[in-house]
Amino acid sequence: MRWAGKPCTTIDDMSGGQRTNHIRLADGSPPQSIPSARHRRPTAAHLATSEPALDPRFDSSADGYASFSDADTPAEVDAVFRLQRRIAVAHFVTFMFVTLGVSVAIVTLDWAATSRVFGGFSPGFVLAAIGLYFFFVIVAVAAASLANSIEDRMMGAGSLPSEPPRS
Amino acid sequence: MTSRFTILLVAVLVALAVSVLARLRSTRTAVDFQLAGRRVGVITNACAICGDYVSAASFLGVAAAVYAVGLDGAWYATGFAAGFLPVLLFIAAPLRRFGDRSIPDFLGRRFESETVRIIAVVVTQIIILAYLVPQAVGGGLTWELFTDIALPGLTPYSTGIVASTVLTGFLVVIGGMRGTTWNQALQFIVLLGILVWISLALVADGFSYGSAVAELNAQPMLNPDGLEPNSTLTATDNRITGLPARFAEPGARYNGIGQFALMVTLVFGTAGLPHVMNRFFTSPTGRAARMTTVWVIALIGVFYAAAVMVGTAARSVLQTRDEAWLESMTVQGVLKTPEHALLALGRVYGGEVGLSTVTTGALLAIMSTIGGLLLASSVSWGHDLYERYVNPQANRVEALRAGQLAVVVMTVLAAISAMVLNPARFTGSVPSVVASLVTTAFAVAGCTLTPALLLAIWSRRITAAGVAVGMVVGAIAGLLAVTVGLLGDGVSTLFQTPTVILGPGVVTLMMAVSLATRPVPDLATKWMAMHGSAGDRNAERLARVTVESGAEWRPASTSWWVRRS
Repeated sequence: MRWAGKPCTTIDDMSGGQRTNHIRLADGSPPQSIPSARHRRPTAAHLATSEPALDPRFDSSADGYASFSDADTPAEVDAVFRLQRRIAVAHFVTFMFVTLGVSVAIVTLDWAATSRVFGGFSPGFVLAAIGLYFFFVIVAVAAASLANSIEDRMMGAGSLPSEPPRS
Repeated sequence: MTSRFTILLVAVLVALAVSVLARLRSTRTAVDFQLAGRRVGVITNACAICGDYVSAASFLGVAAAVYAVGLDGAWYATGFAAGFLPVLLFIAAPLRRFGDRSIPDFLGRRFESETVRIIAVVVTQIIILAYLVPQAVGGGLTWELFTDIALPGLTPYSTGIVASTVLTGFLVVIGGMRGTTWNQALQFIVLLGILVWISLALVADGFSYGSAVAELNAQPMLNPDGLEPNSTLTATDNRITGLPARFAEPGARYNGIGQFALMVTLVFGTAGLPHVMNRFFTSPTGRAARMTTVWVIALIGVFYAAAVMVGTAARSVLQTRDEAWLESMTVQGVLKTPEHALLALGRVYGGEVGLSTVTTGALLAIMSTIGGLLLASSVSWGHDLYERYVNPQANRVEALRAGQLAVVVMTVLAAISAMVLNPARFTGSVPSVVASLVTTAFAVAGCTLTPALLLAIWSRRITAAGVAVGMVVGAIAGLLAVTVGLLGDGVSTLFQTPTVILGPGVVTLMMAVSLATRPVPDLATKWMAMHGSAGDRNAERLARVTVESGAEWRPASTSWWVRRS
């Protein structure tokens, strides 16, 4: 069976509470209604009615709910929290040191305001007007990449494979 | 005159069309109205955050501040851009993962405290109003330059305030977060395009950035001593050396400590701005929120670097121009109102059409920020107060109506406040009245919500009592300081940028009170929600499954669309 249309991008969209989502099927069958609150996840019975073999990664648990059965363990989260905090603080210290350092240097060092580096710019002006923006982007990319990488490597070890088995 | 209004009319009609389109795709629920269904993509959200953040203070104010005080003005732009680094490093992903609708909601749930929630609502409204009023002032100033048309009984300045606030309020009411997001993203692209166009026009005209800085720096900086026709130019004193200030040297506006204080205030204030932080709740996942912030830092950097260059160019170019229309706006080639710098450059390089384009851009900047602020206010009143306390049994229509009513009330309040405020009284005492007033919002945010968010996310020991006391003390002290700083003559600039002192003080107070009280039980569950990534993985997996299957999830109220297709 082929499903049609554009994708939903988030399961958390269902956290709003009271409304119902529809899954539209391209085979002409009526749209399927699914309660969409976080605590009203699609039931196993409901999904079984609409699509018996929806996806092997859905876990039809004994409590009558069906969901992706991916979860973190407290130990994983605690380890990641500590590492993320250390990394965030390290990047922040670097960021503040450079940003405020430039500010202090411009105020205290004559050459930063009066000498000329290129095209008439003083070192202080070129840093404040252009250079620091590049620095911010570099720090941001580095920090975000590292944070994402840590989460990928340290969490979800016991979770389901990210790619479904191809038939 | 016709071309002026044609461009403005087109922009307004496009914004209106976007809002109507968003309304058609909306589910008419409070979550959709407030958070666009939490389905805003990374690039769209980044552009929308930039549109939200780039207000009159940035589009007109940064160029104006650079124009008026040179290097010290450039630090405004640097501080505005730098503010997103702490957001990226400490707040964006955990805030989104906890999955609430607003900052008061987040703090209230994190500490399981209604007191914290209510205090956060009050603080949020104070910050929103402090940010909203300068936007309306910017709308009035821009309209005043744009046209002398005035509504009966109002000045052109007041008419601009009414036009910008009422129109935006209307767009927000009909478009909700989805319409506002699309409008903000579009408006930011337009604003960036205008700066790029002026930059290219300057280069084509032979403008050399470095040479202009060197030339401006070669002579003392002179500024008009008032707005009157007979005002004269006076030398600006360097507050560090006591000598006449120069364009590319520090001290025209701030002394050494003041420079440092401004940066700290702007850096820590951004993380506490409710209208900006609320946008992270619209991201699908915590990781998407994080990557959105990276894009914001890149886009906003390009924008501010261009704004600083344009401010410099205005100072260099306008004093060499001999055009009749400039005479009434300038004193010996120097603009009486620095906020007119960008507008004047638009007219120099694009004539009437150029002026209309920049003016329209300025009004769009104002509208996009006002839109974000009104929505943040709406969420705070509608969700945090009405749905929880006034009418806990509210159905979705009632909740939606409450949010829309909040938008209307805040619109009126902002318009009246901006009309009462007379920007002329600040001329000469502050480099750019719009940018300076916005700094007030940053100062209060940096002393209240930023410490609360940082500690809520990263400290297990912090308690509801600590956060509540800290926010109350921070709000009172912050407001007092900035009021004295703005209205008092000859007081230290530290009063206008008090976060450098009050921020650490509030953090210390929060921690001290927390040590004497007990943290909430069941912290492990909250920690898993904030710092775990299972929710992200599940969401990504669901999205992948849906993409592979070609399925579409559609809200119930748009089932007509499903049937038709």
